Amino acid sequence: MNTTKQILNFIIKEKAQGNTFQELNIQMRIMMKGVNVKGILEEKVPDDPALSEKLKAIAQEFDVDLKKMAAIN
Amino acid sequence: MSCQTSKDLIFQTMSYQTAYSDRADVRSAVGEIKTNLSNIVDPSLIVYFVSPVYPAAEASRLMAEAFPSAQTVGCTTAGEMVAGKMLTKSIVAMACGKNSFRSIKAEALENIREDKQTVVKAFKNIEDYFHMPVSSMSPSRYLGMVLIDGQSKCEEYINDQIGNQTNVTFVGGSAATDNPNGETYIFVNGKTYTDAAVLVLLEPSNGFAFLKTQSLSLTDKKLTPTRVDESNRIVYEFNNKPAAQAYAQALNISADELPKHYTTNPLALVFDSKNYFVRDPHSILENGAMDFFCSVKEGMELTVLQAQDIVANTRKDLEQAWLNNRDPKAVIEFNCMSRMIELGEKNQKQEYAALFKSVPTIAFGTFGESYIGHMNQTSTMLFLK
Repeated sequence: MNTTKQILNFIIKEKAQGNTFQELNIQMRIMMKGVNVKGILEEKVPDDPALSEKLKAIAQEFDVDLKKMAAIN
Repeated sequence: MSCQTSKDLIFQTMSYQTAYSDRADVRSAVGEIKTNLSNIVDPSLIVYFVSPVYPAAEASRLMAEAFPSAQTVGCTTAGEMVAGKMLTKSIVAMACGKNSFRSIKAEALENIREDKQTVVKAFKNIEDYFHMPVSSMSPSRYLGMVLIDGQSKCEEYINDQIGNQTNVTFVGGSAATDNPNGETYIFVNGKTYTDAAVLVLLEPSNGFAFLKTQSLSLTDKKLTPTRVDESNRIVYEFNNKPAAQAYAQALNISADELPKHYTTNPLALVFDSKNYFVRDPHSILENGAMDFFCSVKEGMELTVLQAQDIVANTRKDLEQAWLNNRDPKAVIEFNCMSRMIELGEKNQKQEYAALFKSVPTIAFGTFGESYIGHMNQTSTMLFLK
């Protein structure tokens, strides 16, 4: 799994707080912010530092702490 | 439960009742609505939509005075509807019984064009009221309604900030008017606002559901915005060509013919075949640029849509939704103005209104719809059980 997909998956799970239905809504919210969510999840979008930075900014907007992801990994 | 018919159509249930008035004088119109909602004793919430033919501030003040027990929330419209009847030049209202909600908090957002922290401030007040962070509110227990000044071009960031702060689903629409350049107004507890929005956080007693429906199908034609002015909702280029030229090429027509296709072939940001968000073109600008009723993001591929029959599609989606969410006791619909216009042009207005005849419903013609984000040519609905 590439880094971008890892970050995106983590944001979705954390923001959804265990609610599977919410995961779909959150994916759409992230798409509305200008991210090709489907492309990333289907690994059609290659790792890209600019995209990673964009996802980090979204994590901050969602109040998702990406340091927890580093701790898990 | 009972149902009565008089000069003005009235539906009532234990928890919800709707009424309308098209009397010319605003005081008389509000008085008629008050009379026709009188079976709901001490309502907790009044949602109402007001044609721009009425003086907005007076309508707002009178509605609050007429229902002192209730929070009163509404906006101006580009057409109105109650169950079974499409209207213009009217006020439509829904009274919610005192036991319909465990809790209600309406927060006005002012100065939305300038103050980009206004959603955060409103949620702070909502948190103070509910004694819990909005980030931890359960989306299965709480719901939100949002009404936004339809001339503000702020719907995208307000919906975005709502989603940043909470997982509670907000559904709603953009306040409208009958004049493309006219003011739109938001009403909250007797006050009247422009350059504003309102967030209403609700804890219903008996459940709720949402429906987003658009009578447009996906085609295999794609356009990617390659140069945009996002905040002004302008696309300069699709596929590195002048926007109007590329759009017309995708439809296999000349750019001159494009305006005739705005409502039959709008664009969509597509998540999957069931979830897409319509973006309606507004006009062609200088040098072949185009402006839209919704912003689009550079690099985010859009799909060309093909219009379908609004009545048939909405009927199908309603039947499915009501199958999954049995016996809704009330519906609040936010229906795009362009859908209302098309229904009028095809002489389908009353056929459409009849789809809602069995359930107390109010609706208004919007300048845009809200559900997860801002969109066009869509109907978003809130079902209350």
